Formats: sequence, structure tokens, C-alpha cells
Amino acid sequence: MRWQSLHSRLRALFRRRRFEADLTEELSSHIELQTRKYISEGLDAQQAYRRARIAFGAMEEARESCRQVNRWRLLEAVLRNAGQGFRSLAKNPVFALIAVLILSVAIGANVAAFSTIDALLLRPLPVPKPTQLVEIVSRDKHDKPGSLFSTALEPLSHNKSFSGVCGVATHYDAIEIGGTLRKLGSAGFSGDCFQTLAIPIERGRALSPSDDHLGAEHVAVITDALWRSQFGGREDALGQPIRIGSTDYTIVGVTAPPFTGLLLGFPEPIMIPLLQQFDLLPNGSPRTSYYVNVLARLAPGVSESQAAASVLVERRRLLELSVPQHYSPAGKNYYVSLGLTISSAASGLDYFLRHRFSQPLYAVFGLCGAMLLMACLNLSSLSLARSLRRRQEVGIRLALGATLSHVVCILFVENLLLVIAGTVAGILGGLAVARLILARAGAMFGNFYLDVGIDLRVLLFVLASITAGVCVFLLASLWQAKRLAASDALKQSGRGVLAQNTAAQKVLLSVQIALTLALIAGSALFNTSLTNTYNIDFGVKPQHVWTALLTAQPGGYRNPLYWKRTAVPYYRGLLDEIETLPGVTSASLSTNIPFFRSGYQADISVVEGGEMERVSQARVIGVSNGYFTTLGARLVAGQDFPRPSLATDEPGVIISRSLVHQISPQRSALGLHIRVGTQPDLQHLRITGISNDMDTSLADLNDTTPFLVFLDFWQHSDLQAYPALLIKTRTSNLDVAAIRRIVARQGYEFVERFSPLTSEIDNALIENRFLAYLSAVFGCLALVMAAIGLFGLLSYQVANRTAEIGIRMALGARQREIHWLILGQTFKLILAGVLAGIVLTFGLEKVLRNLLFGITLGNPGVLFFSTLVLLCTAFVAATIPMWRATHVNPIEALRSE
Amino acid sequence: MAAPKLDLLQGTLDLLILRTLANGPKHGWSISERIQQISKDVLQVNQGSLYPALHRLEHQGWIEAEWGISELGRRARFYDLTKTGRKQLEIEAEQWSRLTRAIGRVLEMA
Repeated sequence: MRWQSLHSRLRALFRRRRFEADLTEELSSHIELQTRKYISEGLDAQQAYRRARIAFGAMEEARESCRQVNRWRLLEAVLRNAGQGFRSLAKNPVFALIAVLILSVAIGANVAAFSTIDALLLRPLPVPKPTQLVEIVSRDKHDKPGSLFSTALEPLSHNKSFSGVCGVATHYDAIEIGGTLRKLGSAGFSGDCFQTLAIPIERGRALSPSDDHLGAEHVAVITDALWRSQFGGREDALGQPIRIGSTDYTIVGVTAPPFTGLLLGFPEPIMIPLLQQFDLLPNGSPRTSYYVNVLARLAPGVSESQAAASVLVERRRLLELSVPQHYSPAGKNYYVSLGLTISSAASGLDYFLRHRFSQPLYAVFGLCGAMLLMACLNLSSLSLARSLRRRQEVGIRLALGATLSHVVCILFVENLLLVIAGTVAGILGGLAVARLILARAGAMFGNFYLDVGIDLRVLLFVLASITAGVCVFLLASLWQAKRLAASDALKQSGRGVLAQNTAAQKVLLSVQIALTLALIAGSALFNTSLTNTYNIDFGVKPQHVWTALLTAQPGGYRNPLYWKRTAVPYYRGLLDEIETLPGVTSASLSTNIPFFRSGYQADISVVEGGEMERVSQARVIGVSNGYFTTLGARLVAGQDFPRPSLATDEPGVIISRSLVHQISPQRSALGLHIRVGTQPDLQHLRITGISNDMDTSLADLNDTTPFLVFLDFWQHSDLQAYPALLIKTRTSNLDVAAIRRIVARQGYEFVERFSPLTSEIDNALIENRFLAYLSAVFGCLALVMAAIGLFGLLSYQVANRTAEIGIRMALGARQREIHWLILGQTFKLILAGVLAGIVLTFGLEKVLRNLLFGITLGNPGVLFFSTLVLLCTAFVAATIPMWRATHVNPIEALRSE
Repeated sequence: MAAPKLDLLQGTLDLLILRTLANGPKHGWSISERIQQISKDVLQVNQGSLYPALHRLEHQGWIEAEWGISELGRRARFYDLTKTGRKQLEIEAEQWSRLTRAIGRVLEMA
């Protein structure tokens, strides 16, 4: 559109008065000139004027034609309707406020849920063609996923299905960078990684195959985020050193944003060549192979299943070529028997986040979706109720010649204003909530960081949900306008004898009641499940127990040989010093923080089992003496590990009672020997104690018979690094700073993370707690909405039937009969809603079964409770309209008729 | 009595306005006067449709308007051709002459 045209249209639109005045002046000056001409031709003034007007023709028609040219019709109509809508909403601010509030909560919840799902489950890696990336995963006989040795990369790279392969080993270590000490993730990249993944570089260079040699210069590439946070985006960052362990690396490149690493949720801002990692073999020589996650890029035109087939064909050769030479025969056998599968790595690597949170997240999303549906239903029924009160207004409009589409437009634009306001508030609120949740998760998981924001998928989702909402409202507006047009509105003036045309509202309300019942029942299920979870006897007493994760200072462990000699006296001295602190009753070390990470799984068998030998899987945890006392667990037989003594006698092992029943049901287990996994030093361990069943992993709540193997921390040198310190205190106070000081003063380690054991339990149940709280909040909101809907309907009916009630009362009807008159129909619709709700709830339970613990709908209490809550709310909502109905003054009612 | 007056053909009003304005800015009344004068009162501009046409041409960017003082000493809107308007006039004049030539030929020879 041309500027002049736009300008004059805008002028006509916004400066209407000025436009009209100009037009009038222009036309009247024409008439004047014409009059002057006629006068000059000899007519008198009056006649001349008359002729001039006649010659001009219809003045008003010309004006209207001019207006048409300058008019911007659509915009004008929208603006006019919007103005009308604003005025109409302003007249009823409570309705507007409630509507915007309901919508913004519903849309906000959906935006929060979806943007979290997007960040966690949908977002692809920021590299070219991410869908070509796959991960090659090893599977043990229990189908548990694992990694492969980096020696498998070379033979894999000859596979024609892949255009490139890449091995990644992730570490979390204290790293000295720019003069500060931080615990950061670092990734060891095999030579081809940058080329295979095509990670974009913004400064310097990428790592190349020539860097991935033992003798090569030590170099590192960092991410843009670290470059900005640590070096303030300065150019001189290239060439600066990073100290990991006791090795210095020189920064040679910076990756382009938004790449933050390959691991979902846990950024690895530092990338170094795989073979330049700081690991040494137990004999002190540098390692030449590592366990790695194997990523590969599919060759063009090769599908995932084709690649999987080609890997399967050469599985055995691959594993035999890559089995580590220092493994025992049993270990080699185990490695060669692994299966290999391929899965998509388009959105990066993930250790546990998706597995743990995808189901709860989709449940949350479902709750939010139900909430949005409720909100739309509620607002539709609210605006239906409102429009019934506006019958007269609409009747007058129609009588004055407004078309049906015009009425629809008015009603729709009014609702559109509400949707827009609610959406804007909802998006802002929703993103803020999602950020808050992920920040909370960051505090829980340590290095966790995930960004939520509006990307294309979130935007599409928001647009789709708004479109859906707008469609619902459009339908509602159309429906109500048609109905209003059909009813002879002007005649009735809102005081007819028969209540009519509330069928639509009734259907909406029934659906609402059904949804509400399902939400309340869902909330009851989740909350009962949560209570049940907390009532589990974990077999430990978590009160007044503190956990601290110890991490090596850079180069803190010196080298494996040094550390082997130093670790036991250091740790024993550390525990002794902590136990002398006031208020501390006991302290011990463990390889795992209870409820935070469970030990690794290994096959267990009894050495004395002979031919009858049974193999079971158990979780293996290394603990020092005093562990059971500190946690408040107990030994049901045998005794605790001894204090460390350098003279090594036969190493002992403590196992859980359930495991005893499993591996040695007949005879006493004490004194028997067991094999643990394939490690050479764990093939002949004497059972010296039996613990109670401690459930310190909440991964599977229904597993009440934990199979646990406790190794003696002092006896196995490979357990003695990065341990968890457990401290039991007399009261709920602990001098955290003193502990940090004591650990740091020794010069080997520092406290990375400190937390009470009870909060570890809370964290382990975070998804259950979140579902319980959220469903409770949504249940209450749904209840309030249903109550508002019911209240609206009943109020309308009572107002509409005032005259009828008056007549009935004048004829001697009693209060109870009047109540029943109003309630009768409502009762039917509530009943229909409740029945539909019960069906819905049973369907819901089927979907949610995996997320529930110790409660099913088989328990009649849940449905009974939910229905009762719903009926009570309905009763409360009905009270005021009922009171109004029975306090109709018959004389007043009849007089106004 | 002069020759009977003719109503303007559809679409010719624009051409006449543009041509009239080619000699310099004019206000609405003088445009219609000029057309009647030159056509010796044969062409009668319907004054009711003159002003919408002026507004339309202004929207198309072919003419531009400015307030000035008329012969009677009062405010009037003066219209003038723009550059694109001049081009448009050439195009339309050319089309018109082709049309009349063609019609003339048909009337003579058919």
C-alpha cells in the first residue's frame, strides 16, 4: 500500500472529525463557486444556490463515496468492536478478571509444561542434520545399556553405514580455569568427533585426529558459554591454560552458541582429546583406551535399522577387537557377550533424565491439558450465561438491522480480548515457572542446567493452543448469537415464564463436572501415593544425618600409586577428626549418597554353591565401618567391618537379609563366600554380616526386597576416591563450615555438595511430590470453576423463573417444593457428570498406573471421597441461588409481570 | 439550445481529470468547468462522482492535493499531477486514442 493511501486512511480512521470537516469545506466551496457562476449568469442569489445544489446531485451520496475511498473497513470494524468489547467488559470487571485469571493459569501451566518437555525431550542438538546422529549402545543380558571401549571406534569407522564415528567420555572434576576453581564437566573427544558431529566453531580451531595422541600437545576447546562467563568474551582467551587434574591444557578454540555439550541437561563446557585425559592405569602408565559413549553419523541414505543390522553382523568381531587386554578371562567373556543396539542421538546423550522424567512430564502435560479444556469450557459457559442476560441488547441490535454475523463478531471480539490478555499473562508466567522449576532441578542435580525459552516448537504449541481456544469461543459465540436471534428477545425482556435455551450450558457443565471429578480423583490418587511413599520403612533413620560429596582438588590424588598408599590413613584420619566435633555422634564413608545414587549392579553367586550355584543381581555399595550406625540401620547377624588395619586378612562382605534368602535359603549365610561381578579381587569374599533391608534407592518403589552387597571401603583401593561422607549428629545442627575446612585443610579433596539426608529423600521423590501438589492445585481450581459454572446456571434459572416461583408461592407451594423445582434438573445433570467422571477416572488410572504407589481405584475411598467433595462444592454453589429463589416475594414477582 | 449533453463513459472521467490537471493545479469546481468548457458543454461531469474520483486518484498516487485559496478568496483543495500521474496520463491517452481509432475503423468499414 502506498504511503499517501495509508496516510489518508489512517487520517480518516483516527482523525475522523478533521477528515469530515475538510470534506465539508471542499464540497461547500464547490457549491459556492457554482452559485457565483449562476449569479454572474443573471440569477438571483437564492435561485443560483438552488440550481447549484441541483446540478451537484445527491450531496450525502457523494460524501459517502468519498468516505468509502478512504475507509479501512476491516480494521475499522475490528476497532469498533474492540472498543465495544472493552466497554462491555469494563461494565463487568469481575467477570473479565476471573476470565483472564482462569485463562492465564491454564495457558501458563501448559506453556510451562510444554517448554519443559521441549527442553528435555524434543530439542535437537544444535549441529547440522542432527537426525543423522545415532548412538551405538552395548546391552548386557538384562538389557541394561552401557558404553563400549574406545578401541571399538577404529573397526566401527570402516563400517559403510556410517560417515563418521565418535567416542565421548564424560568427566566431572574440579578444574582450574582463569585462576578460579570450579567443578565442571569435561568431555574427552576421540579424534574424529568434531568432524563427525559437525559442531560449529566460532573462534580458533576444532580438535582434530592429530591431537588425539599420547605425545601430542595438550589442547582444549571450550564452549561459547564458558568463554563468556570465564573470560568475558575476550579474544585473548585462546592460548590460556586450563588445569584438569595435574595437567595443563591450552585453549585452542571456542564452539559457537548454543552448543553446550552433548549430554542432556549437564553441560560439558570443556572438550579435550580422548587420549590426553589425565587417567593413568593402576600400574601408573597412561591409558590408551577408555569407556566411551559411541556416536555415529549415518551415511546418506542409510536408515537406522540398516545400520543396526550391519553393526549386529560384525558384533562379535568388534567386541573381540576392542576387549581390554588387562581384563580377567571372566571380564573378557562378559564384554564379548554384550549385545549392540542403535538408538537415535538427535537430541544428544542422556544418562537418566528422559528415562526418569518423561512419563511424569507427560502426566503433568496431561493435567495441564485437562486444565486448559476446563478453562475453555468454563469461559464458554460463563459467557453463555452472560449473553443470556444480554438478550435485550442483542434483540435491539437485530431489530435495528444488525446481521447475525455482526452479532457474532461483537461477541467474539469480546472473548478474543480475554484470550489475548490471558495468553500474554500465561506465556510470561509459564516461562517464569518453567525456569524456576529447572533452576530448582539444578540445585538438586549439581551441574544440571537446561534452558527453556520460546523456540519454534514452543511458539507453534502456543499458537495451536490459542487457535483451539479461539475456535471454542468462536463456536460458543456463534451458538449463542444464533440462539439469541431465534428467541424473540424484545418481547420477553428477561422475565419469561419458562426457562429455556440453557441446554448448551447444561451440557458444558456436565462435561466440566466429569473433568473435575477426574481431576479430584487423580489428585487423591497422587497424594495418597505420595503419603504411602513417605510411609515406606526405608530401614534407615534419615533424621539428623548429613551427606557431603567429596571431590578431588586439581591433582589432589597425585597419581594412582601415591593415592593407594595415602588414601586409607587420610580417610581414617578425616573421620576421626570429624567425630571429635561437638554434636557429631558418628561419621563414615560410602561410595554412594543414599537416595541420590544407587550402587552399580553386579552378578552375585555363592562360591560354595557348587553345581546348584544361583546367580542373582545385586547393587554393590562400598561402605566404611560405622556406616550402619550412622544411617540408623542395623545388622541382623554377624558384625560390622573392622577398623582399617594395614595387615590384610580375608576381605569380608555384608549383604542384605533379602539377598540371603535369595542366595542361601537353607543354611546360614554367615561364613559362606560369594563372587561379586567379574573383578578379580571380588571373587572370594567372606560374608561377615547380614544387614536389615535398607531401601536406599527409590528407583523402584514396589521393590521391597533390596538385594544389597556392601564391600569394605578400607579393603578395596578402587573404592577410595570421590566418596560420600555421612555424618550423624545429635541435634539438627551441624557446623558445615567446620567440615568444609577440615576436608580442605588436608589438601586432597573438597566438599562439593552438602545436604541433609531427608532432603535427598525429598529429591528422590521430586516427580511424585510435584505431581501430587500440581494435581491438588488443579483439582481445587477445577472445583472452583465447576462451582462458578453451577452458580451461574442456577442464578440464571432462578432469575428467569422469578415470576413462575412467585405464582407457585402465591398458590401455596412450600419452600421444599421450590428447592426441588430448581434442584431437580441440576441434580440430573450433576449425576450425569459424576457418572461420566467415574468412567473417565478409570481410564485415567490405567494411564497413570506406573506413577502410582500402593493405591488403585480398587480402593473405593478415592471415588467416594472425590464424589463427596464435588457434591459438597455443588451444594455450596447452589446455596445462594436457592436462598434467592425461596425469598422471592410473590407480590413483587407478580406485580412486575 | 446547444447540442444535447452526453454522460461520460465509464472510466473516462479519470482520463479527463488527469488531462485537465496536466496544465497546472486546479480545484474541483474548475476541473469540471474546464471539462465542460473545452468540450463545448457536450461533456457533462456528474459533480457527485467528481469528488470520489479525485479521492480515488489521490489514493492511487497519481494526483496530490494541497489546500490553497480559490478565486473567491476562501480555502479550497487544489489538485496537481504527480510524476506517476503524468505517466499514467500518457498511458491512458494512448489507450484511448487506440480505442477510438479502432471503433472508428469498425464503424466506417464494417
